[in-house]
Amino acid sequence: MMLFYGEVNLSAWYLCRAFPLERTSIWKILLIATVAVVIVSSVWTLLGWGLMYSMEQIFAVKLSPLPINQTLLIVYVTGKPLFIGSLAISYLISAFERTKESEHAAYEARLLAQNAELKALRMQIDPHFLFNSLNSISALITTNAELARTMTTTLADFFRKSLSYGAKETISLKEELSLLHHYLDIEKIRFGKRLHVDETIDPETLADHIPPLLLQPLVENAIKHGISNSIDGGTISLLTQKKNDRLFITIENSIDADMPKRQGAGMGMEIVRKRLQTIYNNDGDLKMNSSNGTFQVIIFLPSTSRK
Amino acid sequence: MKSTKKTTVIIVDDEELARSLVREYLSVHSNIEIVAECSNGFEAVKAVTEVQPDLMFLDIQMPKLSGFEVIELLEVPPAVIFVTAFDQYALKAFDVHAVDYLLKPYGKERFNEALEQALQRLSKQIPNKAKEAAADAKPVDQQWERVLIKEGSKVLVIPVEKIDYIEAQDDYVSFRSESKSHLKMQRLAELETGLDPRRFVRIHRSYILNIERLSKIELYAKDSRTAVLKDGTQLPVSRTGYDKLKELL
Repeated sequence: MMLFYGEVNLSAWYLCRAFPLERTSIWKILLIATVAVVIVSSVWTLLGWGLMYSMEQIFAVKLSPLPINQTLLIVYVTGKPLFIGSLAISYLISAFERTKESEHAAYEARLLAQNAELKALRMQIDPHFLFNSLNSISALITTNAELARTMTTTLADFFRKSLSYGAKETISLKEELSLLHHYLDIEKIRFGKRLHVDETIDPETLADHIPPLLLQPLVENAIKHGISNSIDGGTISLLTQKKNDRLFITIENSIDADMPKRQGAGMGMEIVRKRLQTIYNNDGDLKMNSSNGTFQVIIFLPSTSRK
Repeated sequence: MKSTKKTTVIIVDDEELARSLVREYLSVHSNIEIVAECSNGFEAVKAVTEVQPDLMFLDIQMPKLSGFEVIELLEVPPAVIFVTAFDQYALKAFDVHAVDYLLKPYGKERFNEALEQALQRLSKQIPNKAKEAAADAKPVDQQWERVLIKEGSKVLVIPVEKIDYIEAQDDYVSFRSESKSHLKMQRLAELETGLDPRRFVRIHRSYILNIERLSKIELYAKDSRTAVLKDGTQLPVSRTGYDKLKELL
């Protein structure tokens, strides 16, 4: 009997695996199930007959008090509901497992996306910016305590804002610019007369939304190549415009001819470009230009004044 | 043991505030005299050559010349304490026999520790091996984008694409660029490994040529050829040099 039961259960399970509920029409399953019921019951009856017949012939043992024909009829009939029940249970179990699996996959995908985002955000603020700023504060404490205090609070504002903005999906350009102003204020204390900032902001662009901390790494790059690599420093220019429902942001810095040329896009710029391409498909991108002692990065994305 | 002569110090950092912190920490040490402050590598090379200080506080990432390039250019570098926000150069710093490596921001105790170590080394008169080490510390697989040459107390930066050819002259090499020659104490073989082999070819025992300047090769005797450059200059080409050129062209 155990053998029969096993056969029924196993065949039901295989059937369920071969024709999963999600990818097979209900009629096809019903048809297959009907055919399978007949086959399995027949096999089951045949096996029963074989067993009973051999028992009677060889050992003269009667397994059932009823005649063989009657017993086989009972076996044949009871086999059907048993198989159908088994099939139904198999489908139920597989459906349950599938939901659990898909739930797990969705959770994993979300975790992966979050990790990537976090990694990207972490990459966006150079830790050396913090170390150098702290060193400036340390120097200012004895020479200009007031400025040391200002720098401390600006640094705190910058990090607080970058954390809260970084958790959002998009922020307004106005918010991103306020973050940049904190950053540039700190760098102005560090670099003194070497850093000039020139801004041409179209007021209409301020309400537009962009991914948070998108411009920060670009300005950081501009400072690194345009200011800290140059004896006399230079100017960082920021320009925003709206054209044909697109938002254009240009960041420009002067470059020192004596310094080795930049080899392609740096890590920071690659991240910005990837973010734009993933979020806006073909509607957002980053372009670079280098000519006449200036280096220019232009990014564009769809103009969206609301989230 | 107190010597009557003060230890002379030079501070090199492109940030005024960073220099002022070193200045402040040094001010309590009466046996120290700050003889110069420089905001870039050029100034540093000039000042060290002129005043020959005992000790140099040196930033690494600076405009024009890095801290390591400054050491490489100096004939007799002083004892060096690197001061930087970057920790990834620490190993290289000790390769060039730096006394210490201060990470920004640093406190007074840490600073005094570094200074004490420097004063000890100076009192022991340990010969400074920084110079040779600076050249050796250069990663071999990295190709130069520019050549640094010191002429007097001035530093010349020649981008490699502006070099026409390089000629060996005893212990020196002469760089020919924009109709001028510049001497540098270096071996030709060392240059050969640092330059892009697809652009610079050792055409002769004494010559490395920028192949972009080549106009034609003339045969003037059996197995002896002359490279004629675009400006008309003629350079000898050895047999192995000719083979190398043939391979490239």
